[in-house]
Amino acid sequence: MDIGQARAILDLAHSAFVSMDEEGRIVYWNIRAEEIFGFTRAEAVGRVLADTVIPERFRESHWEGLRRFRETGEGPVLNQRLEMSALRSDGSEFPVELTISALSEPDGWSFHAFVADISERIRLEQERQLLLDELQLALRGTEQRLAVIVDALGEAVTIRGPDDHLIHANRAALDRMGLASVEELREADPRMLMAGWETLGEDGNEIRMEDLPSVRALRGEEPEPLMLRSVHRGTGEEQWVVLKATAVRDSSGSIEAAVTIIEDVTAAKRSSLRMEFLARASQVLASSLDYQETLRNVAGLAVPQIADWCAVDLFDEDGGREPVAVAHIDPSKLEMAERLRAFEPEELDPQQGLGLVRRTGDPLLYKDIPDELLVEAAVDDEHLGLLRAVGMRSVLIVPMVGRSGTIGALSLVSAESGRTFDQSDVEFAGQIAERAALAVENARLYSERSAVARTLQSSLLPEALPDLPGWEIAALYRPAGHESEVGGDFYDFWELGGDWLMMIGDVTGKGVGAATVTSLVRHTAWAASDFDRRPAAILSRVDAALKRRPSLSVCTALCLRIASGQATLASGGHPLPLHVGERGVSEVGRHGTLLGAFSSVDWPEQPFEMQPGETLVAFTDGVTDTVGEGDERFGLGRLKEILTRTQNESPMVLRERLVAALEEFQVGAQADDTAIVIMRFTGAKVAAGDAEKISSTTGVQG
Amino acid sequence: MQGDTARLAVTGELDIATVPRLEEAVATVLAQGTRSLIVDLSRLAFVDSSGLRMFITLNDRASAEGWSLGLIRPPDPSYSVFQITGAEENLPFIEDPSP
Repeated sequence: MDIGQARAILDLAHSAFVSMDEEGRIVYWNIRAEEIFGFTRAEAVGRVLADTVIPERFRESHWEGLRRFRETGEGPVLNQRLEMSALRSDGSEFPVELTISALSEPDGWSFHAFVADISERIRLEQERQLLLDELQLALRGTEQRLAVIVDALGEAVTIRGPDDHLIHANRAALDRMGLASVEELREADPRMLMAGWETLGEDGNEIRMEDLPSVRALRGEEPEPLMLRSVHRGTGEEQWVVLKATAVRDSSGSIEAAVTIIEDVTAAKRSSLRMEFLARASQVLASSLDYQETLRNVAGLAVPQIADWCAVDLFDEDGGREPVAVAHIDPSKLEMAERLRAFEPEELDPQQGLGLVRRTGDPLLYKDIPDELLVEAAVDDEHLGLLRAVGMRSVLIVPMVGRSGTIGALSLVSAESGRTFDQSDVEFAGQIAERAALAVENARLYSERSAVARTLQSSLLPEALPDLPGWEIAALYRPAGHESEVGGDFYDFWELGGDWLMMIGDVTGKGVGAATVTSLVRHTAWAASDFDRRPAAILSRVDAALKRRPSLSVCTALCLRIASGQATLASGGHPLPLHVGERGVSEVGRHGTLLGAFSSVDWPEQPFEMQPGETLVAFTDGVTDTVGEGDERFGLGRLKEILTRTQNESPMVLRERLVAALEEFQVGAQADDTAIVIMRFTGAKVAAGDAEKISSTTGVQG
Repeated sequence: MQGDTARLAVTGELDIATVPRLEEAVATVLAQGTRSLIVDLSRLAFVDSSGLRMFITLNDRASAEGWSLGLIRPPDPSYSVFQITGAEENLPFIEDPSP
């Protein structure tokens, strides 16, 4: 993802966001980080993170962890929620919760952390513990006294009797349970009460009555606090609570009741789940330029923590859409989504759902999906059946807004979990959608650049190799590096009055700049050959054209004129071609001056004759400069050796042998463009007319 | 560095990856008011077209700005690039004045 854009988003984040390079220096610091740590961005960026926000006693282990990660790639603290102490600019310490992720970037590792100040939460926890202790003391009195104390508390508190029945609850607890009075509570079957909610643990497993801390306390255990997610089966409201229970004993020491304090941690839990999700989604979004795969991965991360279903659709220009991703924790349900697609119209309805989001660019929240809405939306009974089977409870559609407008939408569906979405979900989903939009646009931009590069590259090479009478030809072009860049190597063949001209060359540099020079070289050579077809004259024109450019533009090129078996060669600073024949493999031609570079120039021509069965191999320095084990170069020696071994092979086969040898030799990525032209003289089919042209060619040469 | 003469020695490979480092070193030296720069290539193991291009640019700049440039000849394998391209005759190769 584009770093500037990502940072702009991060400045909007509610959490502090801090990035560090592998040397341990702060490289990014958002607005919220300024607030909680008390350092401005200008003060923080560039400083050593450890010396800035980590209390002295933890610094050593911070450096040790960083060193170990750099050596082994193992970071046990990465990608999970951590609680620790941090330093403010005034030297005071405060508790924070954070999630750290590591990204591999071209210039090394970088580390990113979402950090939340949890001072308030810790303070509340401590207060509750005090309360619980006081209760313990108070409970030594009568039940009546107990009830008075409990009722005075703002926290939800329940008291469970030895037979597992709830015997008391304060107002806050009764409200949570939707009960009017303590009498109602006492009459209720505790199991029936609990059945009004779906209760799941942090791991997603169901919590049974036996697992509740109060019930375990009654059995004489000392239960740990339990965090659970409850979804009210009636309203769909989701809550995260922590239950802490303690047993109350009478004077003889036997357990007579258990008191539970119910702490609502919904906001904190959601925010930490979202932090985790955002950190992981950011990583996924930055990890690949294949946006379809990326979006599928993000959708996969969203289930089931954020929603039961997550779908991503991209809009096309004709009012249609491309479904890119659908995720559900249960793969068998995905089939249902496929079948539902079949009922959807080709064109989006601008009055509802995706179409409406596309038209307005605003998020759309269907907090509740009543059955009437399904009936209205269904086109037939089968469709309605499917819609009902999905069991949609709540639907949230947020637009993916990028630089070029609304390019798609992210849909979240709550179904079997029974929870309903609220405004905080809308904001959160909006953040994900915005990041996803940027990732898609960047990926598209990249593939457009690649397409431009491919088009440009193919315009710089002949569309097909020509049919030269009496010759067999094969050529190879392998650009190095990123596919979005155009290489600087080129070759070309053109016919002129019965002669053939071949040119192979290498423009220094890559990209569009190099492509412009390549294009100039080719066009100048074509035009020059109309006036004077001697290779030296053509090179001289190209040299002059390059020197007219405002900035230094240099190029090596080999120019060969062929008339049947007669050839004339000149080199403009280019490696000389190899002649493969009965007498072995040897360089042919004489060195000439690099084009576009020097004031003193000389392009000596070398006429020579090819015998049937002989081969000429022209290449660029990418071949001989190929890097192998221990930085060794492929070199001219190896090239000659291969050609000696394969001298009777056809150009096609020879080309394959060369590619195989280069690939076997090469270590790491290909460093430079590689071009090879292989021409074998067969001497066959020289018609009478051609013979005449040969003599005229010789005439010009003489 | 002696008086206003500076000498830079290049060891190893000079290609698209390492040219910027040499360019940086050259810029630092020239910023100190050097009037004569000698680049010692006697331990140059490899040079490609981007290295060659850098020497062409440097030579043009020396002529334009009126300071002198001398290149101490690299060993044969890397010298061949200068021979193939005619740079041998066009760049100021010198005998090492202080071998």
